[in-house]
Amino acid sequence: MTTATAPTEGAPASQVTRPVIERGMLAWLRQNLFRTPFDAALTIILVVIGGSLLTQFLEWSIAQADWTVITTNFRILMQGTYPAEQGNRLGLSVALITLLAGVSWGIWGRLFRATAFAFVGGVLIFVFVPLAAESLADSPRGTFGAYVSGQLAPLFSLLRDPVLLLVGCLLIGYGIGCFAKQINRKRAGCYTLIAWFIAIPICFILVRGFSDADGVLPFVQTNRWGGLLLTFMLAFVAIVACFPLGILLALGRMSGGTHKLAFKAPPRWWLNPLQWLHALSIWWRNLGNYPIIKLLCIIYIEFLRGVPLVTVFFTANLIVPLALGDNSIDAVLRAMVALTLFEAAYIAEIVRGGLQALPPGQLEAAKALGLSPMQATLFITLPQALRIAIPPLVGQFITMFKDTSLVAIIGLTELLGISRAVLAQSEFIGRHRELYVFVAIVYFVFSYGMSYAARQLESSGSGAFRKIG
Amino acid sequence: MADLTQRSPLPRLAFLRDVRFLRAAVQLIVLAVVIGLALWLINNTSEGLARARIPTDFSFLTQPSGFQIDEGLVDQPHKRTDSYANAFAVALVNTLRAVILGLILSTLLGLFVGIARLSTNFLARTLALAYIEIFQNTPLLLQLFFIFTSVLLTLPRATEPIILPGPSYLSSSGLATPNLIATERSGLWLLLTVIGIGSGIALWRRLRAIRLETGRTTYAAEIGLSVMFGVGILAWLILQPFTVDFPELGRFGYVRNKGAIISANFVAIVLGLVLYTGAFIAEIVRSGIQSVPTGQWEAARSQGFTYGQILRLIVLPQALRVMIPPLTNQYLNLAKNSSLGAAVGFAEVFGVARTMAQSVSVVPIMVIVMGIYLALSLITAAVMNVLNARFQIKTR
Repeated sequence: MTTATAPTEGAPASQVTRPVIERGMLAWLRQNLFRTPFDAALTIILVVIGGSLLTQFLEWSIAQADWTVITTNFRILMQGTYPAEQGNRLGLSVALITLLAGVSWGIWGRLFRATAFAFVGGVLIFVFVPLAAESLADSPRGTFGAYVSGQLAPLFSLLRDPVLLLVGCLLIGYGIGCFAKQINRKRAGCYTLIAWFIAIPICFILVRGFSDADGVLPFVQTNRWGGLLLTFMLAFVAIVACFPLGILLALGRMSGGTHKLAFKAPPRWWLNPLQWLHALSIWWRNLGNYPIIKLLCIIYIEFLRGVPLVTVFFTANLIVPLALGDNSIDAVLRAMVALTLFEAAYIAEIVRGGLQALPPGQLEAAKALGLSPMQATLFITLPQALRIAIPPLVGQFITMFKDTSLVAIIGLTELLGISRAVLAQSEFIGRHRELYVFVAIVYFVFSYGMSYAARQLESSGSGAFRKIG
Repeated sequence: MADLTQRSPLPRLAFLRDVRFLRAAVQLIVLAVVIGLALWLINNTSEGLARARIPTDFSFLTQPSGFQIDEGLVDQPHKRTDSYANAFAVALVNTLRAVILGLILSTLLGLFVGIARLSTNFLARTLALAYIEIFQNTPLLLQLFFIFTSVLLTLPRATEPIILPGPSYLSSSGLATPNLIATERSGLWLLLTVIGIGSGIALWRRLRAIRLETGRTTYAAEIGLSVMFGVGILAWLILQPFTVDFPELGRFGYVRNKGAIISANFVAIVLGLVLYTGAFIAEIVRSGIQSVPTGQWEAARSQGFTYGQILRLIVLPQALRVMIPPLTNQYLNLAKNSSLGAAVGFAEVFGVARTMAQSVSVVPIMVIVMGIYLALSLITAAVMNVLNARFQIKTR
């Protein structure tokens, strides 16, 4: 990064000048793009390739794409066939979750300049694009102005109110979180965690409603959930439900003593059946104090990690009604059960990784203090293991969010499934590019948001996770 | 003495407090619950199947399937009159084709992008980052739909394809390339090539040993490589072991049995798997390279190694140790994700099973399908474990 100037000829050693750091645009270009001839050639090739891809995409999205397929079907893409007059319930639960997310962010996170700029930029875009579109409304066809007023503006004005509302909720929550942190950080964190545990069932009930038809919250059949709503409900339920199951499986697999017997194999031991028995007994004793439970956990985890999720969905879809002897279990619930059972195996392996990464001294110290195995697990090892496991857990949650798209294969209409349904309508045939790009952007925003939040939490000091709970 | 042989005063309580008894009891209860639950579910299922008169045995495997598969190594690998077992075999071959090609290509792509991610070139760095973030943060199924519907199917029709050098043809029905047809001299050529490669490797090792012993320059790599490939190339030129079969365009597109025709479905699933898995492998490669201490780079640079030499000889071998366990996970994911080929009409195991499930009972089919994937995963994991054991530092 630096280029040192040679010390002046004949100058005393004490007066050697400090290296001069080249600044300015040209220096940056030289350092980052044209360092060597190979670098220069690479840069030129990449400019040509990247530039042509970008211009092709922009040309397509401005001149050829017809984004009305999204504005027309926006409600369906977001909430499926959820009754429109009940839409406020969805809005309320989203607002509640956003508010809590803001509070958590205020307590545990930090406001980075990039995030702040992104918020301000987002708000400005969503306010000004529709305004600009009005002034460009009478520009001739085929120009950029017509594109903005005809294609972009409807989408942006459609999104404006929800986005402003969400950003508002998030910022209000952030303010509350910062304020609560000032008063008592530990207690604020505790209350927020409790609030999360209360809010999730509340949202679920808000969306689902009670079973009476004409009460305060009329019941909405799960087959009317669709689009992004169904994606979120599947991911949310699976994340919340698979977590305890995964921890139990991990503890089951880690159960038993830590000492290991080694099988000292004499030469050609496989010829001697007595040695087989000996090896078998050592294997059995190495399974620890609870060999049956451990084996069951291992079989469950390794089986589900060895088969693809689609086969689990497919089997659950066809076999669960038979196995429970009950045909009334709806497809959404079957998918939720399948996703939960499947992901629990992955969560178990991640938690096991966390448990294994703990220094053994922790458990030994707990034993020395007279804690029972249960107490040692609950208060000493598990909390620390979960803290270690947070980055891979977040990665798995993102995978889970993306995996919900596989229910499209068994015919559920989550975001990807419903976009296929939209494409099947005769007036939107051939609009697959627009729709897929839109769906990809939605998935990207949420997945990237999750990983960004996790990274921010990680980088906001090593104590960030310690202060949870 | 008499005191010691006396029985303890509260035998029953001591028995209940004995930790060995408690452990056994807890485990037996858990086992009983699990077995009971399993029996209840199996019983319900078999009753439901019996009520619906769906057979659950595997006798259907020998019956004719009634559907045909066009995708495979040979033309029409599975006809309507062939058995279900044959359909499974053909589907397994297709899955293996996609998985093996996907493994190789995604590793190469991941390695390339992972190195680019650490480049000093700003543009290479940024483009690699953009690729990784886009493909990691969107679902594979969506990428497959996009590649198949929005890219491959919008290519020109097979009657007026894009002509590539070869001549090869690219169209919405796939890629048609020249194919090699074996003649009676092919066996001899193959034998000579194998001998050439073997002796080349042996020569290389021998020359390298001489160099390490005496310090003389022996040109081990140059001589070894030229023997390895030279023999095969020379034999090819002299023997002419294959005839080339060029693809032809008929009135309705590609002519059957002319050239090698790679279907658009196959291209879609392989491309999707490679692009998706490549993004994850790139991140693994990047963190692997970053896990090698900077001192290694500096020391190598001070010894006069070039950038490529440092990567190839010093950094990547050390990074490989860190990379293999997460790489194994990605390979397993790729093998399992190949089941999404069903979504783009590629006849792999899950897709064929889905077709079968319309006419035969789903229980035995899914047992076979899950067994196949389980075996595939276990084999992959076993191979990678052996590799992992070989690359770890040997400690005493």
